[in-house]
Amino acid sequence: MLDTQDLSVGYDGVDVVREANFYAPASSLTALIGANGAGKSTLLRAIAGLSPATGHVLLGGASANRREDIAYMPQDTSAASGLTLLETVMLGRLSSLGWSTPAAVVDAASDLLAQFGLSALADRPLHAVSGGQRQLAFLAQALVRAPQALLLDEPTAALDLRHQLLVLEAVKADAGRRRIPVIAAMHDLSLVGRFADHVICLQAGLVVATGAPAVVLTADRIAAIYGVSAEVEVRAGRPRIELLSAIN
Amino acid sequence: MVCFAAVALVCALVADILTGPALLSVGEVWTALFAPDAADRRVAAIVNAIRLPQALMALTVGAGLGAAGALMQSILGNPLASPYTLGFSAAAGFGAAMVILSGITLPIWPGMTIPLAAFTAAGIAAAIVYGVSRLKGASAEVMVLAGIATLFLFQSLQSLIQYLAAPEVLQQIVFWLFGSMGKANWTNLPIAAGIVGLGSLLIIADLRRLTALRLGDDRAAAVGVDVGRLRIKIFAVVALLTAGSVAFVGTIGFVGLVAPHLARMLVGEDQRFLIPLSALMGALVMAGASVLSKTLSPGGIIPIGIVTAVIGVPFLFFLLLRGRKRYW
Repeated sequence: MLDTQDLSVGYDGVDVVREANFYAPASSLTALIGANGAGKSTLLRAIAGLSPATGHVLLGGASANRREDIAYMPQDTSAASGLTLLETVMLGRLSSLGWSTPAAVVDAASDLLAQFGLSALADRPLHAVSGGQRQLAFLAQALVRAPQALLLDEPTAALDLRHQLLVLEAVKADAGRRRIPVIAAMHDLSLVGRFADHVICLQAGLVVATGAPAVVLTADRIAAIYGVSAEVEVRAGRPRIELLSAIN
Repeated sequence: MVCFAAVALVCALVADILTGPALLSVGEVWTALFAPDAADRRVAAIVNAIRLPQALMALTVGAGLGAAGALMQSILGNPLASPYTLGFSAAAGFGAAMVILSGITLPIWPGMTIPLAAFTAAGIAAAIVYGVSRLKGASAEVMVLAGIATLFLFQSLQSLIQYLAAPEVLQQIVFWLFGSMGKANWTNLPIAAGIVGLGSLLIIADLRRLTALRLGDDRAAAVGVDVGRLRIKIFAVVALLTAGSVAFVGTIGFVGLVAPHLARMLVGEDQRFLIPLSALMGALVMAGASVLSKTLSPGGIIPIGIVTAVIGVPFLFFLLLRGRKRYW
């Protein structure tokens, strides 16, 4: 389990996220939701140790070495360099790479590509594969270092419907297999309702609700957070959300 | 690959030594190189005191500019970046023009006055860009903007000096700015080679991190790269390589832009291979340009800086238009 205690992040003296206290269970997908500018990306970067922050991040109850223990996948999907998929995944183990590449790193990267159905594309450059395949490669890059927690910033942004499902299914399966907490910043509430096991709701830098999707994703909260009217129906414990209109 | 590189470099070196306005035969050059005592003294002097250091300087400068260009393209994430993008060359030209105009010479080592002034001015330009970039987190955007501003500043100062100079001084300044292997000798060659060698040694441990940087700042940071620190360090090495090259032979255009693209087409983005191969390509392009500069005008030598630009522009267009394969 990943816990945050009084985690605050700010730039130029202004707090973007204030005293965030929440947990993300192991073996599950936790969705981090909130409107644009609520502080989702900032919070994820702080948990990963990439932005200066005050407060604590705990893994399994102990203080985490964030840069080592927690893997973070940034939002940008446009990184389309000439690096091959295999090279890209191996870079996830950068600290193990010297001038030569250890066989163990090649094996671990190849296994992940196989797991995501990308073995045949291992030697293709990133710019020659689809956005979804690229996203899966970046997911493999985050996982190849065997992290104790995984943070994903809008992992399905800019993907078509099929790849949105493929990526989230892969994330969920991997969270279960590795028994690690996964936190994903997400915008699509129908995907949150379908895939998330736990939800953290962020509004103007404050955590305003946490809990099961059916508890957090109410019509009133969606209206308050996004300014959107919606109908929410809970079936088999999971919310099904139909967005109706923007509230003026 | 190593064997191919060695063979290519030797061939380029041989071709460069064989050509020149003195129109020496292969046999004369061979004798002068390997049995100087048996060679005609004039021929031995031409080959060993002029052609050999100039040919080796062409390889050294080409390697330095090729590596610097690839490093610059990698840290700025821009295929149009070159060692001159951030104003180092313009500053070196300004430094050289200053001492030519003022007539100042070092009391101890007069021959090193212009190179030292060029090197120092390039260092000042680097310090300006570094200072501004450091204040704003060393992002590629800030570095480019600070560099372009520095480039224009030193170009303007260079123009001012040319405007103020008397015609004979202006001629000297313009000749220096052209870039020419004619300035190479056994005194400045080891210094240039030492600087290029030092710069190369300084970056070996960072090549994997540079590869990660090709995925963008955020992804590089996510896999453990201290992006700002890496960018600043590579920037300093590029300044060293560029200043070390330009100070001794003047401004040589396009090698630092074209060589990395050639190398990238062959080995892709893995910087462990891209940077050394860019250096090799730079050395080969320079040697080729050096041969052309001596053969285009029989009996004379066109400054190599003119030749590299003239062959560089159509070559760059060819690269841009050639085809289906995307390599950036």
